[in-house]
Amino acid sequence: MAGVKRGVFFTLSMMLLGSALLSFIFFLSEQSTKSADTVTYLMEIDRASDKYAEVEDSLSRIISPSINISVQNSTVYISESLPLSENIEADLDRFAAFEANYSSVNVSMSLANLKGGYFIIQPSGAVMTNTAGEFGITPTGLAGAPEAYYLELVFQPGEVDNAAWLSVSNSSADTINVHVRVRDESYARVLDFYQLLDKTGASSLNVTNLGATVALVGFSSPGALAVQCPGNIGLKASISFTEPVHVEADDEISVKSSANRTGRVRIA
Amino acid sequence: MSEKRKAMQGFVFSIDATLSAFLLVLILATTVLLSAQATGDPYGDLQIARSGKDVLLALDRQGMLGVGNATAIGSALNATLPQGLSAHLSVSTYYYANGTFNLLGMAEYGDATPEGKSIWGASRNFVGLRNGQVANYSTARMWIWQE
Repeated sequence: MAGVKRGVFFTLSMMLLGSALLSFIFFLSEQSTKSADTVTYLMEIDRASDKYAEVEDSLSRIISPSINISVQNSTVYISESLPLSENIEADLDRFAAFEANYSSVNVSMSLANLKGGYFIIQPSGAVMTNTAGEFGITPTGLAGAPEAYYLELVFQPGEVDNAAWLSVSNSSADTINVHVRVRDESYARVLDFYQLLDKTGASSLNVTNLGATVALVGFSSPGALAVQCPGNIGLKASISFTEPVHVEADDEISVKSSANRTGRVRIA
Repeated sequence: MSEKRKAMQGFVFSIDATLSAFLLVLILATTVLLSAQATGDPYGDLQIARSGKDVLLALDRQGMLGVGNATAIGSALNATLPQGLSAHLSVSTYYYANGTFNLLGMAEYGDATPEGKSIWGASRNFVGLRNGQVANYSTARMWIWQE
């Protein structure tokens, strides 16, 4: 009888051990399911982020023939054909329509500022603008303002023959290093101007052909730049800031799937 | 051994057998349930899907998707895909006219998709430029699987 009882106790012990084991297995199974759910969610986040980056990539590609912007640490390089191509607007609208129709996720874009060539240099907060006949960079204040400008204005052969400073403000200690090169496409005429200019003062360089103004390069407070040119020119510019920067269009892309991603368009 | 003692032994034996049978059924049922719920390595899935995206991005950045050179794309797929993975790539190109996108062509690259295997997918839209203007709009779809 004692042996039989021992057998029952042994079975009960095994049952308890089995129950503990089963509980542990269920716990592991639950964790495994949660882990699989987490991976699924990660894949959705990945999918939304990839789509977002893909759209940014294409937008940069579409505007690059007219406005090519790149960034190296704290310097922004811009290469433009002024005036901006009118086709950019149509191309951007069609691309937005294509993404809306042919994406597996819901993509929407608001591209009004990108069409107008309006960019923000972050984190310095300077604003780049392209209006008809004028290209400009306006820092929001002196903090993080540009340290140096390099400008190259490229004209068609025979469209430029001279340039001279109309006014130079360089009396304060807070200056900005400026190099302006005016040339024609054939390099038959190359004019270089180097100046330390006041960030808070006003200076201007007059570019002429046969005595008539063909472009005006102006510097004003707080370290702002404006290139006024009614004709067609090629413009190369680099702007150095005191801190690392990137360039955004003040527009929004929105990608909606199981995980959403919305934000401003980063161009460079 | 008395009759009463024998009957008691039988009763205890029955309880013991019942408990054992219950434990056995419980373990079997749990094993079957968990096996049915079991999935493959989810992180492995993520890695494969990610590989597909990376390959598409690499091909696009190299300009291969837009050009459509089958030999170059085949070589690039072999060179870029992680070992043990195969892929099939399809690129559909559209042009815009009269307010709609019209299919210009569809090109297929890589291996044929297998049957009876798990296949993961990735896609990428991109634009083709000509003389500084958008000439066409394309969708690249990739199917990727373990060999």
